[in-house]
Amino acid sequence: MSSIAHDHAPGYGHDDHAHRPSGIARWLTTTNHKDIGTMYLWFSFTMFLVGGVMAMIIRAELFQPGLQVVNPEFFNSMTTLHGLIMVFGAIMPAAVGFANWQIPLMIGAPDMAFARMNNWSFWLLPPAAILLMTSLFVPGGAAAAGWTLYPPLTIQAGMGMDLTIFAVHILGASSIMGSINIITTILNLRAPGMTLMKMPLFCWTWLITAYLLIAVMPVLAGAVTMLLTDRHFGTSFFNAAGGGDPVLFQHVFWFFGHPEVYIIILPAFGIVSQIIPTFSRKPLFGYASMVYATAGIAILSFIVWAHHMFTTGLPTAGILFYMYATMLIAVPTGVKVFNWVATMWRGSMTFETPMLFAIGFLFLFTLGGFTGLVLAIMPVDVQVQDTYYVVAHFHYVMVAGSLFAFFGGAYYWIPKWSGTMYSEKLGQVHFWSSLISFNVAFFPMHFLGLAGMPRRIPDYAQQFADWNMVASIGAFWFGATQLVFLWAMVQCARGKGPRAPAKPWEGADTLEWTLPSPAPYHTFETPPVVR
Amino acid sequence: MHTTHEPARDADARLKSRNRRTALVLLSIAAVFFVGIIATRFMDGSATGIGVMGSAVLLFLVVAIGRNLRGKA
Repeated sequence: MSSIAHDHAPGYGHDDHAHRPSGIARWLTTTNHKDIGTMYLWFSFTMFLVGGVMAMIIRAELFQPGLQVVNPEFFNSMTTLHGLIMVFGAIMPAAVGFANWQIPLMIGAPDMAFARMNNWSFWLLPPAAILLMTSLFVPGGAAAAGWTLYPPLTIQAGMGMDLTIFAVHILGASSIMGSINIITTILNLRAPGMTLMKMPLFCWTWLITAYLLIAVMPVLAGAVTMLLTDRHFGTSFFNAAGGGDPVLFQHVFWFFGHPEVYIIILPAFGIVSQIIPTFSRKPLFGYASMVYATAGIAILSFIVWAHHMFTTGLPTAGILFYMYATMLIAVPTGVKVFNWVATMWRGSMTFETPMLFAIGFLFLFTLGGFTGLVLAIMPVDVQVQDTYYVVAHFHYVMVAGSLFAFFGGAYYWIPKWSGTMYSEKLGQVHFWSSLISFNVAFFPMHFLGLAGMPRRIPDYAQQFADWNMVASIGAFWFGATQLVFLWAMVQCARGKGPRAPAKPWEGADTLEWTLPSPAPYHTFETPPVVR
Repeated sequence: MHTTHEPARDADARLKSRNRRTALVLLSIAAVFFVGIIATRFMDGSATGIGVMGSAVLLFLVVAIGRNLRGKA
């Protein structure tokens, strides 16, 4: 970013004249982007723990062959809810939490464009989460058809499916409102001199993510609405008995589902693009190419959805198109990976916790991206479709990709958010333990998948026993490690630790670091001028 | 006093109205996608989908160009 002129109005930088309500009313009625960002982040971490407990149940069942912990129906509910909760309840709200905290601070805006709508976007999430969890206790149990909600299973399922559909509607509405807010804030509320091509890359990645969300969330809402009318109002969109086509749902779902992968990963790219230059003490290599690569990934994400459906009987021309289009995504993604590495090249690097997570992200996400490239090859995909190879692939992208970047972002910005430095020792323990346990849990799944172990099945043949035991041990270890992160963050929130200076990272150069730590309740009421 | 505060208030009102316009355009895009996907499937033809999307794009263009021309006039 170019230099920032401290064109302070009287009192600028000392505007901690917070006249906020206290107690529960503050959190229920707040329109402050920082409060709402905090709520998003805590909510997402809570849901991460809930989804994590479900993952532990799944791994406990798979620890040994045979059925020993839960019955198969409950196991299916666990895999379904784990996916839905992690995607919609944990990762997406975490990204929105980062956006709420950081976008106004990074572009020099006083708040989000629609502060009340921002509050509403957040408070829609808890009811949706309650609906999802309540579905476990209704007759017939929770949805059990996988997070992809494929018919005909979802047409035949019990009342839990209706609750899931309503939850998806609510979560979609929340996402669309959040996206409208983010786009409007970035387009209309940037500080004078903050041109689009001077914006920190985190804001760019979120701007593009928000456009993706606006385009695809209504499609998911449309798909589940049709599912609902098939279930209760006699339509036959997806009901083969009435002339409908279940495969049609897969097309509509994946038109949403594939861009969703990028909705999850692009904000993570943005966070990593802030962290790596800071700890390399160099500007980001190829800023403009990063922006264009992000846009390229987003555009390509709309034309590759059917690579999730290679085994449904697509025409040969279609298979070839989706195969090559999917491989094409490796080009802009490769540009990004190259630029991150080039940023580090000959940089004056240090390895604090945020940088460790960013490098961990880079290494493991690239591995996950590479297995994605393998899966894009249709003859290979047919062999490993619905096996643990796919499970390994997307966990390398979503956990070691998004989640590691979010952990890095939390350590990077927590001094600004709380005014307290995190414990570097806890951070290092968290990183190394997460890195090792993650690989212990998920790397063996590649072997299991290649050997033919199907996903979403609670029992398996004896030949898969050893690697499943290893994967389960890794998963329990990874789950337990996250309590270290919780402890480190709680310590910061309670102010237990050294006071954070305004700019704790020598190489940081974005606008939020011009503010004192913790950031005052109201910031940039007089916009800064960016030169 | 009155005159010094007036431009700031104007700028504030302009910003609010610009925000509302941006939000409405984005909301209408979301609505087109939501209604479009159901309409396409309900009428059982890809022509409907192309029609809905085409009409929407044309409408957005007409509004955008119209606003631009009005601004210049």
